[in-house]
Amino acid sequence: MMPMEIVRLENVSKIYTMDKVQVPVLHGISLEIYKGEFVSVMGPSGSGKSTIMNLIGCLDRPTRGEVYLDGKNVSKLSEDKLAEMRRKKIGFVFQQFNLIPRLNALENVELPMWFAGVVKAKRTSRAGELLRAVGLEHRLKHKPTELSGGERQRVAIARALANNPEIILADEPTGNLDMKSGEEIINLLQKLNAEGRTVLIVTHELEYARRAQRMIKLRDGLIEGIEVGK
Amino acid sequence: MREYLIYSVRSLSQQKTRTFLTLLGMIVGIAVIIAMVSIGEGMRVSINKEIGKMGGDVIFIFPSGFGAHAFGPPAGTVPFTDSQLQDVRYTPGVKAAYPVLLKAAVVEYKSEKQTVSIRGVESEASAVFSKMYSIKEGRLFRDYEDGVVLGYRAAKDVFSREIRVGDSVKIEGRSFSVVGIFEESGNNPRDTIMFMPLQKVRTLFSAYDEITGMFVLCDSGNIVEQAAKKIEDNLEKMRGGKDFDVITSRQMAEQVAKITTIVSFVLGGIASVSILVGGVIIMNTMLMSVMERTREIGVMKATGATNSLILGMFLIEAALVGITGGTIGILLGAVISKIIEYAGRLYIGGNFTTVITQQMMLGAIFFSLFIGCVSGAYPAYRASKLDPVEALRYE
Repeated sequence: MMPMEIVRLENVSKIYTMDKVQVPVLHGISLEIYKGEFVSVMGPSGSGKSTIMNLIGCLDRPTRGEVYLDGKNVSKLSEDKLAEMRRKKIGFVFQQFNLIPRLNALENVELPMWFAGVVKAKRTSRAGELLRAVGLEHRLKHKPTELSGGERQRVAIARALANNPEIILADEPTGNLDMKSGEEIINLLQKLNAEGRTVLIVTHELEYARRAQRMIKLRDGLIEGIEVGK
Repeated sequence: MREYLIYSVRSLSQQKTRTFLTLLGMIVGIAVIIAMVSIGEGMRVSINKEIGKMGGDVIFIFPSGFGAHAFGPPAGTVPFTDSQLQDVRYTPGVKAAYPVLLKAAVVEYKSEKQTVSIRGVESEASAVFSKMYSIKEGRLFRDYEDGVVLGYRAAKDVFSREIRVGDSVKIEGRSFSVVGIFEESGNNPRDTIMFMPLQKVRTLFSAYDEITGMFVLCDSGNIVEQAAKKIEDNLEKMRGGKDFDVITSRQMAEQVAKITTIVSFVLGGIASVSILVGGVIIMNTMLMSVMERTREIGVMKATGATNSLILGMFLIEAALVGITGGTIGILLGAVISKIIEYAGRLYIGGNFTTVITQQMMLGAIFFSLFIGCVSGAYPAYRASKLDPVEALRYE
């Protein structure tokens, strides 16, 4: 079966303008990611890992080149259209967890569904299901501060899954976790991948990176090499 | 909508002290406006009540520049004469016309001397002034006797010792007996005057053909304006110029309405400055809140929130502060208004009143909502325009 392309970067460059200085971050990168793939991105800081994530995640637009997401060119979409793409196709997982401190676990997971206009009853039941799926059925009403790091990241993953996205983008999801919790989170992401979800992960841990089917090595805004995993 | 509110309430209750201080700006502003406007409104209501007592068929004729409660006519005023009074009496539509003579007299009571405003009237004029004054004790004087009726405060406060019915006072050196005392009207100048028979005042001041003003009663309320016009024309001819005012009770009511509206606007306008401060405080708090929640805004955008959703969220938060502050402000304003009323009655007089209408409350609610929205607009706009990448990186 021909693998289906979910992400495609065509000669993508990104230049940030800081004060009046132009800082090039990506220098013409081309890349495809296929549906159901588990891809990891490695590289030293400043190599452009997060920028690639932001471009694929529709948080940012490329300076040059084209970005296709699920067959659609998102390089020049309006802010509202980008928000719609994020809502429908993308699930973010951050190093800092980035949960809303005022909201409990359930409400945090409900948030993206509110943005998508899902009715309250349906939101709550789906958020409950997702939290159960990540093993947090006993923590539904807990605020983020009442949860451990690993638990917070699992809430964040549940939130990423809220609107049933095509692709999970995890930017150093284990960076703030101890070994054991980190291991659990990677296992969880692998499980999601095994269920058919596309997962893209940025990580510093070579061991985790190697668990991906493909490992993309970045250096100075260019792809240095792609390593195919086990 | 429910979600917006829940989220806003959560955010606001997170920072209790700050929210309270922000609300306070709004509360004080609205409270001051309510209290101020209630004074103007109270003035209107109480004056209208007095005018209402007189009925719609009265005409007042006074020299120009003569305030309703001044001690006497302005210097250099040419008094009316008996023949002019007769002319007024013969004007079609006029049922009766009563002269009044005002003088400032030295009154002596138990060897204490005070200058008091004296009104000389005929006893039959009580047909008009009994609508404004009612006897509390004793009776009205008879035209031939050396009797005097005192205003409430003229008896109670003007002299160090209270004057009672049956006491004797010396007016311009001549003895008069106090035959009656009026009820308190709450209007200070009116309560400190003394009423005497017209002829006695004329004799005291050798002003035998002198009249300061006239009260005119008409046959019916419908012809008052016509009669007033006719009187005005005749008097102008007789006096060779218009150095007097002819005012109907209705015109007086209209003038009062105009003046009290201006008073309300001025008081409300001054108070509005305080609401401006309230608005600035809201804006400041919201800007601070947007800054603190930069990362959160980034997360919301990353998880699919549109710019307009973020805008609405912060706008509703500001509106909520505005309307909550406004509502509490109305309550506080009502309390302040009552305190002002109490103090006013103590120091100004019994009929001082403050009034808060439903219209005022509704206006205050909308105004506070408006201020909240206006103050929140810029911070909300800033929040909505945040770049998600930058926002997520914000520490």
